Amino acid sequence: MSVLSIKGVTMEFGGIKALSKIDMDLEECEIRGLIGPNGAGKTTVFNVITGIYRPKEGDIRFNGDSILGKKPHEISGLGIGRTFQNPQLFQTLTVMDNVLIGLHTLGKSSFVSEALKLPGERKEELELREKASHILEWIGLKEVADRLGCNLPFGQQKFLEFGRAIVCKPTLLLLDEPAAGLNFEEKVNLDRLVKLLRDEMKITILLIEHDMRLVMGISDRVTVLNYGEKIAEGLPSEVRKDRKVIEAYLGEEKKLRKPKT
Amino acid sequence: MKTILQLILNGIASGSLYSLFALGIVMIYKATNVANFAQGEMMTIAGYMTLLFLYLIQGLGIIAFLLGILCTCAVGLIIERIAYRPLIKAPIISIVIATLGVSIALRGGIRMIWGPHIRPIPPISLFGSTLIKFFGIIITPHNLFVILFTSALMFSLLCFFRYSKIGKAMRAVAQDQEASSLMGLSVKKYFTLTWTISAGLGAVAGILIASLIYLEPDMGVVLLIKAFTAAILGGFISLPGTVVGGLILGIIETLVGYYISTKLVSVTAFIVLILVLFFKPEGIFGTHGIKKV
Amino acid sequence: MMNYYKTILLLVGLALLFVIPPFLKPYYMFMVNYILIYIILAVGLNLVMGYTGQISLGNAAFFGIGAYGSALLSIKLGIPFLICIPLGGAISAFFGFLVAVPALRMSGLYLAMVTLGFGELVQLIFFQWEGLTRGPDGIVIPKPKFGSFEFSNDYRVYYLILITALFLLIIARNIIRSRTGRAFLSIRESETAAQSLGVNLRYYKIVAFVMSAFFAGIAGALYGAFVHYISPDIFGVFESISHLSMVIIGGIGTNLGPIVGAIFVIILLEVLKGLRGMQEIIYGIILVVFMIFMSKGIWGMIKERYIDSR
Repeated sequence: MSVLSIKGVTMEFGGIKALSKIDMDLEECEIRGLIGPNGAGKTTVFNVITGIYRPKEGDIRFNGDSILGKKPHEISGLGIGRTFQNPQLFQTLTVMDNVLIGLHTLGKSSFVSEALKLPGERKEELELREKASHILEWIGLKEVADRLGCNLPFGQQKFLEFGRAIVCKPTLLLLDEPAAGLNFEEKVNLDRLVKLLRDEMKITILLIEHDMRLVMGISDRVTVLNYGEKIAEGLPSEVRKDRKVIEAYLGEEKKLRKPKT
Repeated sequence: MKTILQLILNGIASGSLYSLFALGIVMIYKATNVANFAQGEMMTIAGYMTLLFLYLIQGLGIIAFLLGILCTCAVGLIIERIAYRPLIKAPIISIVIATLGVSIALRGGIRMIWGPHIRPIPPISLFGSTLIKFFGIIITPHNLFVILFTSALMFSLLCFFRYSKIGKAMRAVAQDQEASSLMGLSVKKYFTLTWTISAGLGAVAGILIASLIYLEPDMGVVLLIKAFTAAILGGFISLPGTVVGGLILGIIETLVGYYISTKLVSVTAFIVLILVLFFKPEGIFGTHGIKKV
Repeated sequence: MMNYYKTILLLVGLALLFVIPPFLKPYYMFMVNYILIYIILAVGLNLVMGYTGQISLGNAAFFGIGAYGSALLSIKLGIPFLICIPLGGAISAFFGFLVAVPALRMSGLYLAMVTLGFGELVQLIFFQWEGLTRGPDGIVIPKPKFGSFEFSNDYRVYYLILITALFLLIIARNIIRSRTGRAFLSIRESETAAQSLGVNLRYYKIVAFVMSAFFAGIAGALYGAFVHYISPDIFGVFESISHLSMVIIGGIGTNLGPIVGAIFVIILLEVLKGLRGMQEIIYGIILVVFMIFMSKGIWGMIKERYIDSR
């Protein structure tokens, strides 16, 4: 059974078809790249999966159950995490607080026990903080735990958002251009972390990326969109040679090079 | 049947004043994304100033009327320059508080200069006080004047926006500040113009409303809510929609006052506001995507 | 280390608070009580405006509902006033819930107008439903009793108000530091991100609103207990704007902000009282000036300069 199954999804905005009968199936522990020229509809796919948009047609199933029509916070609660093209950090909060909010769905204390700071709540709070600390160490931000989000350099902001999205161990992780704006070292680190997520934490990953070297090197399979339609899908080596894909990226042919191993 | 028509006519009279007032608010909102909570005070000031001029001039009400409007526009301009311009880029909450601050200050000023008591204002009318009859329906000259005048005013305003060069420029600035300024339109100049016209509309509405009821320093708030209700009924984007919204509100109020109870008239606007916002926030005409959670 | 000093400071401050009344002249005692009540109001409103980032221009309505609710419960049903205080808060919270559920679907301007309209509506009802509220005449509230002990003067009432205020402040602080408090902040900072992390936006907005209504209701009940007379004209737009300005001037979204703001605004209004109509003018001007130059508020700016720039 696929972790995520998108069938026949069509998305329209006032007459303009952003997505046209998209089908996609993600297997467990797969890293799937989602590529395509700008405006192809990639982020729209993410927004449809996370419930921000409701598709005109089609169905989306997560672990077999339909999530169509559910509210975004419900969908996150089911185990789908996400990062954004421009990091949506909680700017005036500390790094630690940002990650703690990532653990929101794991908290179970009632309002009353929070208001009165009952022992159950205290214990839970400590556990959450521990988990947060652990992730911060994992992504290398432990030293800046008390810094405000807005005081971090861009690369660290992206890693923070990344950490925040994975701290509650989602089943599926949607990464929207995680490498945009990162320097070479950071990209290597990202590559390593994403693979670790799949191998150690058993998370399925769908990532949108424009950095061809990165995405071809990291993905098990790649899906290509253009003008809202799926034009190719398969192993990176197959997709790279696909004529339709090359045409879609006309002029960017040079970027479809073999990744260095 | 006749009574209903009568009531509707009266409703149209007061409604058209709400429309006028609401147009002022919507214009500013479309242009600057600022909701001018001090709009009510524009109205109140106009009323008081006209009273002052009537007293000073002792003659042609029309001149006092016009002077009152001009002065209010001037006040509106000053406020825009001092209080609102610096806040163009500020978050909504700052702007709301600033306009509220202006509203409080203006009310204080009015209270200080003219005292806290209610003052009547003589009905501005050129037609005397004989009731006019047609098809068995009675209407006071004042209401007739209100309907005719405000219709003419709103019509010219709509034509202005649609056909005149300046009007089109104002619409451009309202839609996209950056693009407009890149095209050479002076954003500041058109903002100023927008605020002035809005103050003027508020002033006219204020004087006419005041002559229907009375003047009182705090009248701005209630009328603000009524104007806002009118604007929301109309969908808050379109100017014609706002006009219709105001008329509808006026009619509903008059009908409620007659068929249910006069005590409820003041509450009616609030209830309509709350009902509309809860059930059809886009208003009757709007498809405006207000943020929903 | 810092925590050690902080705790000492806190304990000393608390001790002072309990010991100070005999040293204060009646006028100052009155003012202290007054300020404490507004601190409760401001802290409550800060949860909605500062933490969740929603606008509420009708807070005076909840203040009034708490005041009238507790007064009427005690006078008409003979319930001991001390129990009427939390009951007043509960009634207020209930109405807060009724308003929040539909109103918080909107945001920004629309929410501002709905809450403004609601505030006006409630005040109108206070004025016009004379059978219940005695209309413009207002209600005289007898001094509250605890058994045979009567809170007969401002000094005695002070302890009642102080303890209630401290209790509510602790609750507010606990909530702010908990998962719920973080959820509030996440909503203010980025609704998109908050949703993607599983935060139920609607639920938390409503919780914040109901909490602030509860606080306002209790403040209202205490107000009645302490001033002994309530009438509809107190609970209008000006009042709501005052609550708002305390939160903003003090420093929106900070912990100490509303406390600083309440103290500042009450003292300001008191100082300006002598100058009749000027009061409103200066107050309005100060609001505008703050928005233009000091939008983070007094404590907000202090915090930013000395604490946050690591």
